[in-house]
Amino acid sequence: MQEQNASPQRITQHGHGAELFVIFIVNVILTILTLGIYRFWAITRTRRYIWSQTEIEGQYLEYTGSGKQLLIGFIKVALIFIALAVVIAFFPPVLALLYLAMPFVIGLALYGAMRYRLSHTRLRGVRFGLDGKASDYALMTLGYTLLLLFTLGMAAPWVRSALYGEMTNHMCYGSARFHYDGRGSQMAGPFFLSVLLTLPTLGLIWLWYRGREIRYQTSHTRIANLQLTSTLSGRAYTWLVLSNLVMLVFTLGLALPWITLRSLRYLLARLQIDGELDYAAITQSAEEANATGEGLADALDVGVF
Amino acid sequence: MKLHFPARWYDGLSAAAHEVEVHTHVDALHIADHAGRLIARWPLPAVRCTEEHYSNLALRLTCREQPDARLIVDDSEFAAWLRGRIAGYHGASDRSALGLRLGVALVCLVIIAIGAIKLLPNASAPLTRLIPHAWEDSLGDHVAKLLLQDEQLCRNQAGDTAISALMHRLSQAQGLEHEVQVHVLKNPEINALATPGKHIIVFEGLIAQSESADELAAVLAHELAHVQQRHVMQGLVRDLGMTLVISATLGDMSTVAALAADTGRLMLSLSYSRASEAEADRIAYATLQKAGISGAGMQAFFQRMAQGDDELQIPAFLSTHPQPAQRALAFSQLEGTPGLNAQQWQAVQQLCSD
Repeated sequence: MQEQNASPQRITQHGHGAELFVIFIVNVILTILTLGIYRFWAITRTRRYIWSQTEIEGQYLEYTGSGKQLLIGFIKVALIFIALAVVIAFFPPVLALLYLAMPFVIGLALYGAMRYRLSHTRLRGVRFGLDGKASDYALMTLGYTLLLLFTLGMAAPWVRSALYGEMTNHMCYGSARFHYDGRGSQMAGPFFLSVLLTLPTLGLIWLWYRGREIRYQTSHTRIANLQLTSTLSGRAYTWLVLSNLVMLVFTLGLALPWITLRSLRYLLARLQIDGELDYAAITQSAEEANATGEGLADALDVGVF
Repeated sequence: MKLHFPARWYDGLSAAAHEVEVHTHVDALHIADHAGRLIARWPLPAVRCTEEHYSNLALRLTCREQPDARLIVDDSEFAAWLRGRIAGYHGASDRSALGLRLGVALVCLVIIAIGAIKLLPNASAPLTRLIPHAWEDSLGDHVAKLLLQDEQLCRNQAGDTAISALMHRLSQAQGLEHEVQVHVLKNPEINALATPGKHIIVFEGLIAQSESADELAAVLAHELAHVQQRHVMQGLVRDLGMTLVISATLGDMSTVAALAADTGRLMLSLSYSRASEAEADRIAYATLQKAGISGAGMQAFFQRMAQGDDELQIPAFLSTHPQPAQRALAFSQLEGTPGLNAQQWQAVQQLCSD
């Protein structure tokens, strides 16, 4: 009998580049015709397609976010920014304060955007979620940014692990919780190696580092009693990013739909999942969140995924 | 026609899957377990697909009255029955017809690209005309203030009067109604520029390099043409349009993709800029002719620039301006009198000397 060492892939992306490309073109046309307002619906359509083509053990993900919510999130943030601009016009010192608070604001944005996306993602009718307080994560981001300043960036492996852990440990799928048990010190070796090799590799070593980090963080993440393991290597990740870059440049960005799906497939093919989820025992728990964090992340141009 | 279909049911309370049967009625879907017990009754007007239905996927339905529950039916006969019976569902997008859809999308894309490239420069002039002069002027005042705030200005009575006289002559020849203010900067760069609105900034180096008043007159006529044609505002409108098209194309996806597209945008920008400069040259030529100022100075000036350029040749397609040699040729035909008399020209040359 054949040995079953390669278990079948349990998360699969079935999206078709050409289908996503059609969505992409329609989005472009409508965004231009509406002077940009349509972009929130464009983002929503794109996500809905990618989510709905993601199969997890025979069932497909669902994205329930809406363009209207994203627009409202954007307007809220825009109003806050306008109010701040007015305040700064009268009290210029507030600007300096704002610069200091920037890491805090970015933390709020990342947590809020992640909460919106997770709480609008369903599998088998049950929502994912991110509980905990965004302000806690934001304070942590602020504190760790100061720590990075004092250590000239050398605390990065510990800081990044702690922030990933803070977010992951507040994530859930219905009543099933995510757990992260990684430690920053485990990434210190690759980190200091990358610092040393930054100049000789013209900085490319950091792609390798990021690949290693994704592998480490994923492999120390559990969902209830499902253990995730990533086999992504630093080299494979570097290849993924560089080849994507070349394709984008040579197609003037038009290959984006194919690249998006290819990247997802590439990462999922290197994801192994062990254990079984007792779906019948997982109950609906999380609430749907508003899109203010998405608006903030959008305004600050910080990526979540 | 079948009236009931096998389906999978998620009640929205837990992630447990339930095998059920869905019964089609005139106005509702009845969801029942295998023993025939009714689990839910979904009135058709409240039923929706959770997303666009692609032919490789099962149909996933939800109901406004039970927003957490999901009904999944993998049956093409059921899909055909449902088609047109609930809002927003017109059947599955067929993957086998994908080539056609892709072709249509590509044609649309080419049309957008050509439209954007051809239409933007043509649309930017009429769009700019919609912008009130008052807005442009206040923007121009602001820009001029910013540009001049850390610079030393060259001013004296005789020089200012001479330049005013020349500007008056040129403005009249060009039929410009409003006054344009000229600022001379104490800066060795050989350059002159027009802001939006009513300011022209001339660098000292340009006056120092000019061998006659005609050369200065030609440069001023050229900048005045930019002012009259509102070229700077047109450029702003055009760039805004291009940015909109590009950000629409790439959405919120990737900074790298944006970088690639930005290179294209820059090349286009440069070609539009060369077109504006050529237009300004044409108008300047007509203005000088009408004012009766000789083009000989301008010809000499561009010839010197063309020779100087030999050391640092910028290819034509990467330049904001047309090639100096071509521009010199254009002005060689123009005859007339000097733009300023000897005394006035001396006053201008001495503007920055104290």
